Amino acid sequence: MLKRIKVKFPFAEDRAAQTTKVATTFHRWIQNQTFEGHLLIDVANYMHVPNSYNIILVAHEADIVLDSTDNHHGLAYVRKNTWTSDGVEGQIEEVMDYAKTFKTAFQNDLCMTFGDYLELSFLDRGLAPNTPENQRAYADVLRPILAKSGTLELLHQDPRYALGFRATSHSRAVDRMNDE
Amino acid sequence: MSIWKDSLKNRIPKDWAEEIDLFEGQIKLRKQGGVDEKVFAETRLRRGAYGQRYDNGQRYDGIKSQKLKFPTDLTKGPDTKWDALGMQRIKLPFGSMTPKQLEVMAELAEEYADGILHITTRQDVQLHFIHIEDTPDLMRRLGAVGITTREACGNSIRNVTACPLAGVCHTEVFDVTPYAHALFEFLLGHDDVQGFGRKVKPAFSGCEHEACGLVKMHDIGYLAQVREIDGGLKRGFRVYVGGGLGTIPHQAKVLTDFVGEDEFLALTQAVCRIYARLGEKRNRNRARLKFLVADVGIEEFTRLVNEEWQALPYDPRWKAYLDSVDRFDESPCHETDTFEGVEVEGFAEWHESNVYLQRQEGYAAVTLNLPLGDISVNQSFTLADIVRRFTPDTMRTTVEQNIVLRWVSVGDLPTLYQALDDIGLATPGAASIVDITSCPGTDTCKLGVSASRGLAGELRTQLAARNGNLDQAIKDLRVKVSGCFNSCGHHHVADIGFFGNSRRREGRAVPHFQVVLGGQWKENAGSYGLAVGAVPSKNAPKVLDALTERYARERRNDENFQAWIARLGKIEIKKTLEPYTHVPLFEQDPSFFIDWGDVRNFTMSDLGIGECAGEVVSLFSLNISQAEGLAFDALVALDEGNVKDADEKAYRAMLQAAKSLVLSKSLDVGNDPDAIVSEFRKHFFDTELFFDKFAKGKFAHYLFDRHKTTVKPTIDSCRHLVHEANLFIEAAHTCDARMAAEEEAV
Repeated sequence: MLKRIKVKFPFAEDRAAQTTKVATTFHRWIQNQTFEGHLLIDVANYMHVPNSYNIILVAHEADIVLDSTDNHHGLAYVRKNTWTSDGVEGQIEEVMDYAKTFKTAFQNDLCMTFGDYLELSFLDRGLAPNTPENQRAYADVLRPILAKSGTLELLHQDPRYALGFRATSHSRAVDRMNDE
Repeated sequence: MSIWKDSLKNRIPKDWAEEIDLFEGQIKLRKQGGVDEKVFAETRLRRGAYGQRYDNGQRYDGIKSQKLKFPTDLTKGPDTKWDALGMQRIKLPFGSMTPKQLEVMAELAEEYADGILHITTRQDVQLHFIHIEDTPDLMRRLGAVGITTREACGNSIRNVTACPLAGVCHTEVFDVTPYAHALFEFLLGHDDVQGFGRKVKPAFSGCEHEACGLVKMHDIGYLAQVREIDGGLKRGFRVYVGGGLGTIPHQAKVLTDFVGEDEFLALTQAVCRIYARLGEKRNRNRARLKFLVADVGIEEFTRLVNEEWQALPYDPRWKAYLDSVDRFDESPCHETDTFEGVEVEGFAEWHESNVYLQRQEGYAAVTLNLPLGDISVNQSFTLADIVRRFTPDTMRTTVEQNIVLRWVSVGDLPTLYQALDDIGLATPGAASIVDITSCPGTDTCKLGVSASRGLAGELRTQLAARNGNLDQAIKDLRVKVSGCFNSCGHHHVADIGFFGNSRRREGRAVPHFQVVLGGQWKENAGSYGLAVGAVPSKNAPKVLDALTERYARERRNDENFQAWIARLGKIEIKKTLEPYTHVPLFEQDPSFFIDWGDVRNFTMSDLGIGECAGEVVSLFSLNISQAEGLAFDALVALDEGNVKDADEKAYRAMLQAAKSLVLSKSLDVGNDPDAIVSEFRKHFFDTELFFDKFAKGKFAHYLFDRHKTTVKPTIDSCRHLVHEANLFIEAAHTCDARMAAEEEAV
């Protein structure tokens, strides 16, 4: 079982969302606790750190993040625990489903539009180190799920960075995402 | 089996690996109910796994207190939920780390925490929002690169800190690095540091007159000295003991003017034994070494230590480290070069504030001015590359929450600046008024009252915007912020310090900061500032402006801030603050009721206790203001050197605050001190109504102790009493708020 998986939906225009609005929205989500399967706990603010997680809605199961990592802005969903699926494919499907829920809510509450690609990273250097072997193996796993008709690009060659991929437009996941 | 346990088994020192395995076993046992929660709490603390705000399973969400429904009711300590996220403190002796270690910590931040590495005011790194069950693997990964978290928290020897410029500084007597490392290694897990009543913080300085290692505010401080003995020069230390900030700051006393490098470990061991044997154990609030030294007196403490030292069985480790002192010598990664006429935008300003030319000609130490001590995962990876490229693979964290790169060739400075600027780490203003220190405060700390990081961030933003136009005298000031009276943000040793507290207006809680002025950073934290009054959090930036502008306008020649504050006097300072103390009604300006960096209405309690107004509150407010007036008068008297008067007024301030509470219970108590103390004890102490959630009855004892004392006050005791009076008044405010909330609940 992989430890953490992150899905990031970059914004259509590469600019930060209005941070006060995002923080207020995250606090309101905590007040309402409306997201099934998630215990929303707190909001952490790191707007002063560039190229980083900037505002984090910390939940028991996941972090929902206003994210400027790699210097482009987006909404990220980082699943941390409480996995119900087994196997990499199952975990990916699971994290995508949860991520979509938060993306839709974010879109509705903050009127942000998203780009036509997404990024998926495996934050587990123990089971999924960013090696050439894993880059090939995980791409093979991801392709049918994320990029059947689109392309899949490696995010970082550098082995220090978590193994991650960018799925471009026309992929099944992106189509599915835009159907919401 | 954990994949890390298996894959790293040959890369972790055997004893460290066994300790981590044991800790993992205790986690499993606790889950099965096999370890008492208190025992488990101290166990995890000694591994650096600390609690974090809301870990009692409740959080005020801006409207109401929410019960956080974690999957299990299991606890990892008293009132601490198992699944609640916590903090992991990572010990870096003298702040030293390699690029590889930074990379590993960044990986851990991404995989187990919230993607941020936070540098603390004791040269540690902290990761937040961590699950307890992730900590053994995290510790293994650190262990594999030579880092232990053992005794990063808990009642033991904490991180050994030292000046980040040790070895490259112009004014040091000698490089204290090997000695700081020797002490770390000698005391880590030592039997004689396991029985303390509280923590012990050691520090090393190479220079007497700089801030350096701040030895005078530490439990044990070592100041480098060289003595001529038998015709040769011998290295050693002047050793200080019993210093500390916290609620009541104590200046350390000199234990010995000189102990040789071959003896200082033995002497320290003797200090540890005496503290373990005679230090307070039951009352945590009086358990720090500073209280033992104050109680027995430095002469008697010295006698006890010397006696113990003579009786210690010989340990070859006392001297063995001397054979490898030179392994800490550093040399540059390449030959130096010079630069001339650099035209890079921003370089000159950065160079002026962030670059220190080393005593080794042609090399510089460069400070990365981290906002609020935070650095991201990606920044860390790139910084590791930069460190490898420009330095001999080392860097050091600082107690001002920055990172220092050493041995940079001055010819490389423009290229280094560009590389740092590309990742947002070339912010100018290091060690200036812009470079504000802050503890975590209400962001993550269980004890935080006000948003220290929120305020520090706001001050930083406002000051940075006009940094270029600031008077040089203002630029050189230090500003430090703590979220509560415990001084983790070092507010006592700042020119201008703030610590969080709270007041009420029409039944609503209003975040405030107490203003502390005149602390001295240099001279190893040479003197402590004094609280001069509380202002609403929202007005704290205006207070900073008012004070600094007035200082720039009125200072005489080279008069420093401490001297100006002393000359100004408390009455004038009070007048300067007065316009900023008023809190408007909520309907007029609700922003006063929200803390910096937050969007929720402020509350003192994450238990969600509401606030209310009423007649009783008004009566209390009226009476407590008299206590505040007396406490202020005590400050003025102290300022004037009138010890007896200051002592009497501080005592009367506490009596008046106690009386305010007694009167709020509609009890007619009169003015007899015995009657006030007796009624206060009966209705507020014995009932624990006055108890602070964490400090328990500590503040009440300030009154009780002074009430029964017959000892003639000294300047030191009087200074402490004035601090205590202010804290007693704060506790009275808190108690009143709690009673009001309980009445509302009824």
